[in-house]
Amino acid sequence: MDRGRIHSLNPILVIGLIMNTMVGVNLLGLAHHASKMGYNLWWSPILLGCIVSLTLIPMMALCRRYPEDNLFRIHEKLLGKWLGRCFNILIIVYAILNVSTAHEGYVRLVQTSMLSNQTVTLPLLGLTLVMVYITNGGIKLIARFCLLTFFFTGWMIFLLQYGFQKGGMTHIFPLFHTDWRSIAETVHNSYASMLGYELVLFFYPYIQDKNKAHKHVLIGVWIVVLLYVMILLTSVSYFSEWQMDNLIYPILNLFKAVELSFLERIENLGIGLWVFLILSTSTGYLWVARTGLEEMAEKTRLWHLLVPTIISFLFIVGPLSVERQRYIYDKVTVYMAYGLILWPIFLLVLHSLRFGRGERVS
Amino acid sequence: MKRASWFIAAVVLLLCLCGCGREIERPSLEDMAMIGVMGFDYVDREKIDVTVSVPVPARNKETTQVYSTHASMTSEAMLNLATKAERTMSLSQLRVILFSEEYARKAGIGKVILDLYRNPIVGENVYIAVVKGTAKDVIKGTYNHRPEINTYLNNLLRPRVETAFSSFATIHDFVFMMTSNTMDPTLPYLIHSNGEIQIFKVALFRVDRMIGLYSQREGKLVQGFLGRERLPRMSFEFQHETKTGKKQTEKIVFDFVRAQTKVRSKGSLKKPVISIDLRVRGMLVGYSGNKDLEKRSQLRTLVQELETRIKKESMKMLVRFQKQGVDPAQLEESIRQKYDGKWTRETGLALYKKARINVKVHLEIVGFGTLK
Repeated sequence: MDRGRIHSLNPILVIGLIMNTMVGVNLLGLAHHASKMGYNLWWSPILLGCIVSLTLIPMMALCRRYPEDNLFRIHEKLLGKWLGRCFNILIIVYAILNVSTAHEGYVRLVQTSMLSNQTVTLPLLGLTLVMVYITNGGIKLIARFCLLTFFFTGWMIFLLQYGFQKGGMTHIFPLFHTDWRSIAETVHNSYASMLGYELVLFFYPYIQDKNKAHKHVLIGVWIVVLLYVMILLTSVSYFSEWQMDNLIYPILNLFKAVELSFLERIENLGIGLWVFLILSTSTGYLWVARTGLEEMAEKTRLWHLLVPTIISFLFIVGPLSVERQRYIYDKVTVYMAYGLILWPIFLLVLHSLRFGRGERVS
Repeated sequence: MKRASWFIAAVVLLLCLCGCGREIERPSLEDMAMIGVMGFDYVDREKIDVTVSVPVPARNKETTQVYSTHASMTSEAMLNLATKAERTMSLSQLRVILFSEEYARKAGIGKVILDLYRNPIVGENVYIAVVKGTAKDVIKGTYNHRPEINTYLNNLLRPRVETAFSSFATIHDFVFMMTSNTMDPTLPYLIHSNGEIQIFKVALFRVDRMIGLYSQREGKLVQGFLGRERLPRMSFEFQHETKTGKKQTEKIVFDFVRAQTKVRSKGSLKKPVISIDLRVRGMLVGYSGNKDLEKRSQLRTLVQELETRIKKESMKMLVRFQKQGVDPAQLEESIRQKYDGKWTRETGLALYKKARINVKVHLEIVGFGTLK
C-alpha cells in the first residue's frame, strides 16, 4: 500500500473521494431535515452547493500555498508548534466525532428497521472492523473504496422512478414560495449532509494534478448536489408536507415505494447496501484522525489508527446516554464543522501577514 | 505461523461466545404467525375490537386462525394477542386492514393507521378498506370455492382495471391523502353477503373520519380527474325517438384505453375558475343501436353524444361535491399551485367552494370491434 507521501490520487479518485465522503448517513434524513421549506425544499441543495463552492475558494487557496502539507502541518508552520498542536487535537476530535456520527446514525437505523429486538453492539463491531481494515490501506485505498461504493450504490438512483411515478410533480409549485427565515433554518439543518468536502485540506498533498484539483473537487460537489436534488424532487412528489416533516428516514419510505415482481421489501436491501456509503464517509474521517496522530508523533504506528477507532466505538456503546450523544452529533459536530470550514480564511490572513500575499512556502 | 496460530486461537475463543447467547432466541419461520388481515371494530370511544387472521401453512388444506382482543392501540392489541397465540405474531406479512363503517365514522381511522405507519416491520403494500357491518364478520366468514380469507382479500383489493373506481389506498397513500391538505381521502367500501365480498362503493373521508359514500360510476370519473390513465369500462344509455315516433334505447359500453386529465385554475383568488380538460381514447365494446358506425357522420354524432353525457355527469357530480364541501378529486391542488401565502385546508376548501368549474371532454373512438 502507498502509505508514504506519494502523489497517488488521480482526478477520478479525487472526484470519487469527495462524492462519497459527502454522501453518507445524513442523506437518509435529508428531506426531513430540510422540511422547514415545505415543498420548496428540492432546490435547497443548489443553495448548499453554492455555499460549499464559496467556502472551497479559501480552502483551495490555502492548499495551493502549501502544496506538500496537510492542514496539520500548516498549523504547525503557521501557528507554531504548541498552538498548532492544540488545534490539531481539536481537528482529531472533530474527525473522531464524525466517525461516530456516521456509525451511530446508521446503526440506529438498522436497529429500527431490521433488528428491532437486538442490541447494536455486534453490527457496530463489524462495521468498525471493516473500517479499520480499509483505513489501514491509506488514502488511496479509501479513494478506491469510494469508487467501488459509487458503483455499488449509484444504481439505486434508478429506484427513484417508482416513487416519482406514484407522486405528483405539480407539488413543486408555487416555485419560490418561502421566506428567508425558513431558508436559513433549512440551510443550517441540512448543511451536515454536505460535510465531507473539507477533507480536501488533508488529502491535498496526495493529489497528482494539483493545478486542476479545485475543478475536480467542484465536479464532485456538484454531482452530489444533482443527486440530492433528484432525491428531493422525488420526495416532494411522493410525500405530503406533513410526511416530510414527520418521517425521520424518508429514504426508507422511498425504498418502500419500489415494487419489483421478483423481490419484496427492497428497503432491507437498500439499507443494507447503504453500509458502503457509511464506510466511505467514516474511513475518510478516521484516516484524518490517524494522520493527525502520526503528524504529532512523527512516526507511523498501528495504534495511531486503533486509538481513534476505539474512542469512536466507545462513544456509541459507552456510558453516554443516547440523548446526550444526539446532542453532540447534531450540534457539536456541526458547529465544529462550520469552524473548520471557515478556518482557512483566518489561516490565509495569517499567512499573508507572515509571508506576504500569494507566496508558496514549501 | 505465529499469526496463524493467533488467528486460530481467536476463532476458537469467538466460538465459545455462543454460550453467551440469550435463552430466548428469535423464532424460526415455522414458529411465526404471520398476520395477513387485521380488522378494527368499534367498541366505545377508547376501545377497539381488533381481529387478526393468520394463515396456517399446511400441505393439504389451507386453514386460517382468527384471534381477537380489545385494546386502545394497535401495538397494545399486538401485546394482548401475543399471549393468546401459540406462535410468535408478526406484522411483516400484513396485507389488508379492514375498518368497520361504524369505527370509521365514529372514531376515525387515523390513530390506527399512524400507529402502523410508525412500525417499520409493516410493509408498504398493505391495502385499506372499509366494510359494512363489522370487520370481524368479514374475517370470520366462510367463502365457498374461494381461497382462504388472507389470499382472497388481498387479491380482491389489489389494483385492477375493473375495480379502478376506488383508490386502492395503501398505508402510505392514505397518510398522504389525509395530510396533503388538498383533498379528501377515499377508500374502497366492501359489502359482505351470501358468502361473497364485493367492492361496492367508495367511502369518502374528511381527514380520518368517514363522512359518506359515492357510487362506482362517480368513482370512475373521480379517478379520471385524479389522473388515472386506465379507467374501468362505463356504460351509457341514450333514448332516441325515430321518425315514426317509436322510442328507442341505444346502449353503449365504452372501454377506456387511455384517459388524460389536465386540471388548471385560472382567475383571481376571489373568483377562481377550475378548468378540467379530460381527453379520452377508447373502444366500443358493446353497442346496441341503429347507427352505422362506419359512416363518419354517424360516428361523430355518437362521439358528441358521449362527450355531452360525460360532461353533464361530471358537472352534476362535481357541483354536488362542491355543495357538500368535499373534494375527493383533488381539484384544490390546482388552486394551491398558484396560491401565495400560507396554505391550509380551510383556505383550500373556502376557495374550492366558490370556484367555478368548467369541464371540457374530448373523446375519441379508436375502434368498435369487428362488427360494423
